[in-house]
Order: sequence, then C-alpha cells, then structure tokens
Amino acid sequence: MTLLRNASTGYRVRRTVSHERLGDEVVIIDYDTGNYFGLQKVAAVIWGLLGNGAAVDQVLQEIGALYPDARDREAEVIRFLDDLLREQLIEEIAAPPPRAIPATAVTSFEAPVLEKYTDMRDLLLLDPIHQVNALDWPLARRDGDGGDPGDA
Amino acid sequence: MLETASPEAPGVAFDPTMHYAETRAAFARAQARIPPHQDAFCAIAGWTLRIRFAGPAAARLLLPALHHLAIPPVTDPSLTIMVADSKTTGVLPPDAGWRRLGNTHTQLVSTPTARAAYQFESETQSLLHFPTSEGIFWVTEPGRLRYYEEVSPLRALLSWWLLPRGCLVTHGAAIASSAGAVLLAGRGGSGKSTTAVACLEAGLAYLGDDYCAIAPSPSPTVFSLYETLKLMTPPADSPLGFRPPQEASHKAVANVGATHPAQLLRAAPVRAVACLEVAHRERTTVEEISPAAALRALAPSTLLQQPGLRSEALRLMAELVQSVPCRRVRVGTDRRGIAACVGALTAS
Repeated sequence: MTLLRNASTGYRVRRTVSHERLGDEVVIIDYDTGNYFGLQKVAAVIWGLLGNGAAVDQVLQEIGALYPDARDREAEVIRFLDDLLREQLIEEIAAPPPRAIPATAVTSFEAPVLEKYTDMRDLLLLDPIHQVNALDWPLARRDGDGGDPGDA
Repeated sequence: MLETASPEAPGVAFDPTMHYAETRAAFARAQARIPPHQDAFCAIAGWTLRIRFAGPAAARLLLPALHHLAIPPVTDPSLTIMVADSKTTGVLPPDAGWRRLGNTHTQLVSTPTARAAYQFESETQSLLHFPTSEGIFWVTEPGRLRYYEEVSPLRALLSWWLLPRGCLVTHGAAIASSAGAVLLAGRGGSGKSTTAVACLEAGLAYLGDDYCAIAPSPSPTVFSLYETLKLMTPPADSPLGFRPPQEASHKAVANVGATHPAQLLRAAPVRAVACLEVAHRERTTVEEISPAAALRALAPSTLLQQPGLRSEALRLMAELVQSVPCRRVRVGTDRRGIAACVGALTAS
C-alpha cells in the first residue's frame, strides 16, 4: 500500500538533506541518519521535479509526457516516491506549485531506483553531532553585571 | 586557583556576539596570567593565519602539525585564532551552557555571525566570529586533547572560516608530482595513508593523508593543512620515523617534515580524484568512474565528520569531481605498484 496521501498531495525534498546533480545522476546526503543515496536516469529526473515541490499527479503527468510508451510507468513512479518517503528524503507540503518544473528526458524509461548506502552511518553513531538552534540554546548569564566574573 | 565561571541562568537565547566578546576577554585574562608565548604565523590555502597562545602547553601540542606552513610574522593576518588552556592559565571560559545529551560527541550552535562547537570528551571549545575573522580554541586541559586533535589541529575553525571563501577542508589525502596532485578519497581504512606512504617512499610529494583543503575554482587546487601522517601499522622499514601510539586504539604518527622536508608541498593543482578501495591482492589497478561515484566516495566522510558543513560544502566537492578525471584505485599490497599507478594519475 502506498505511503502517499493522494494524487494531489505535494511533496518536496526535505531541507535536512543535501543533494547535487552531476549529469544524469544525483548524490544525496542525509545528515540525520548518515545514509547517502544515488539516483540515476529516470530516478534523477523525478528528484528534479521534487526540488521545488510537485504534486504526485504533476510528477506522473511529467513522466508520462516524457515516456508515453513506458510499461508500468505509473506504478514504478509511485513505488519510487514511496521509497523516497519511507527514507524521509521528501516531505509533504501544504501547497504544491501550480506547475512542476518541466523535466528533460534521459534515454529511455527505466524503473527508478533509490540506491542506498549505509556504510557511513557508523560515523554518526561513534561521534554524534548535535546541532542546536541558537534560539533554543541556554546561555549562562550573570544577572545584571555583564563584566568580568573575577577571581575565585 | 581557578577563576570561576558564571552562574547558570537557563532559558536565555544564545547570543553569539556577547559570548564571543566574553570569551575573548577571558583569553586576555589568561594571557595576562602567564609569561607571553610568541605568536605563530602560517600560510594556509593562500591566506595568512596568526595563532596567539595563552601559554606554551597548547602550542607544543598543536604547532608541530602546522610547522611546514610557517611564515614570518605579518601585520594584518587574514585569520587570527586564539588558543588558551584552563589548566595552565587558571582561567575558565564563560559557560555557554554546554550540556551533553545522550552520547552526543559534539554540540554545535550556528548563527550568521558566529559558530561554536564543544567536544565533550576532550572538553574543548571552538568559537569563530565571522565579522572579525577571529577564532578561539579553548582547551580545558592540554593532556585531554584527543590524539587526532593534535595531528589535525584547529580543523573545525579552519573549516568554518575557509568554506565561505570557496575552500573546503576535505577528508582526503593528496600526493603530487611536478605535474600536479591527486586527491585520494575514501572512508577510513580505504588505504589513503598507506598510499600516501608508498608515494612518499617513491619520491612523490606529500600534502596530507587525512585532511586537505580543496578549492575547485578558479582552477582545481589542493592545499596542505597538516604535515602529520598516521598509520595503524607502519611498515617496519619505513624511513618516516613513526612514533608509537600512546593507546592501542590510536595510530602511529609521523611528521613528514622531520624526515622528508623536501617532499612537503603547500599547494598543487588537482589533476585527478582517485577513490581508493583495498584490493586483497598484490597488484594495484585503476579504472574510470563517473563524477557521481567519486562524489559518493568523497562527500559522506567529509560532511558527516565535520560539524557545520552542508550544502555549500557538497557543491564545492561536486564542482571538483566534475572538473578533473575521476578514477577508482584498487590498492594492492605491492607498494611500488601503488606509487606507480597513483603517480601516473598526477599527469592526467
């Protein structure tokens, strides 16, 4: 069963991941888990559509326009979006943009695959880094006097 | 007698400017308590760095790794880092409220004007004030520094300061010939240090075995940061003078400048990125890989080990791997073969 809410729900790339496109490939780093991911060809095209947010039916429409004759196209795209959602690489957004950014076809349709690498997770487990928002940070203050604490 | 820190008042937002000003004032008090130590000056990635010490203890531990970058004093350094330790000076830095949550190793607070990180095991604080290009590295007790903080000193501060200038402190090794350098990428245990040692023994130049700085533009360049080299099991016949580790889990360390100063380079143009894997055989082999594959080898260990690096850091690495040839090097056991293969890549 799909994790996607419905066809009109919008999703976009989560802000807690970094990603770069290199040709028809994408590299994704998830700082929360230490996992990193690779996308190629059609998977990279779909990822590009989600950069600024897109509704599920917009993604299906764009991929359908690029690969009209592809078999099982819709089911494969839904499955791939489910994989992205399951790995928490994308998040739901309240209002997808009215039109998805037009995609550029790469070769022929191949089932999009999310390549997952977990070999760096131990870096975070061994040396976890806790990043704190400055507004949530407690700071030791001296009431009133902002000068030197003085010698003990 | 130790100077006491401020009493705690929880729930107040972190004010980076005030915290930096208070810590800087504490540094001045620390310097005043002990005989002065001479400032050190270094050239790093085309910039000048002044390191001011409140006492000699931290200087003895941190400067050897930077020795090859030493320059005469300059009047207007690009970056100034103040280093103090509480044990020698008797001065504590102001308490910012660092509190360990679970097994957190490093806590990081970032704002547009300042960045601060605290490492709980070594009890060290790194603080950078961006508007003034000043940083502070405060050590509770020099003896508690983790050994990699001695072999790769001030790494967080250098990393934060260099990144807005288009230069990234990268987890990687670099060796070079007269034609240029090869950046050696790969997670821990992939053979970077072993390859660096083999290349040194073959007469190639050395820029680093664990961390180097890279700048993809205007032309891809790698900069040396540290002259130290670490190996878990150095070859018995190595001429590099490895010092035995103080703990079984640590690596043996050598200062390349002590034995091979003529083979130390401060900078070189990058000719290729080589992603290393250990091959359990004698022969070393090389094959072409895509820039994306090279980025997957280079980026995760760089980004996940260093607090405060995100999208801009990944962008710089992506720019680099798309501007030079990328190769996978399966590192064999024949050291001469390693040096021959990697040395050939410097002429790519």
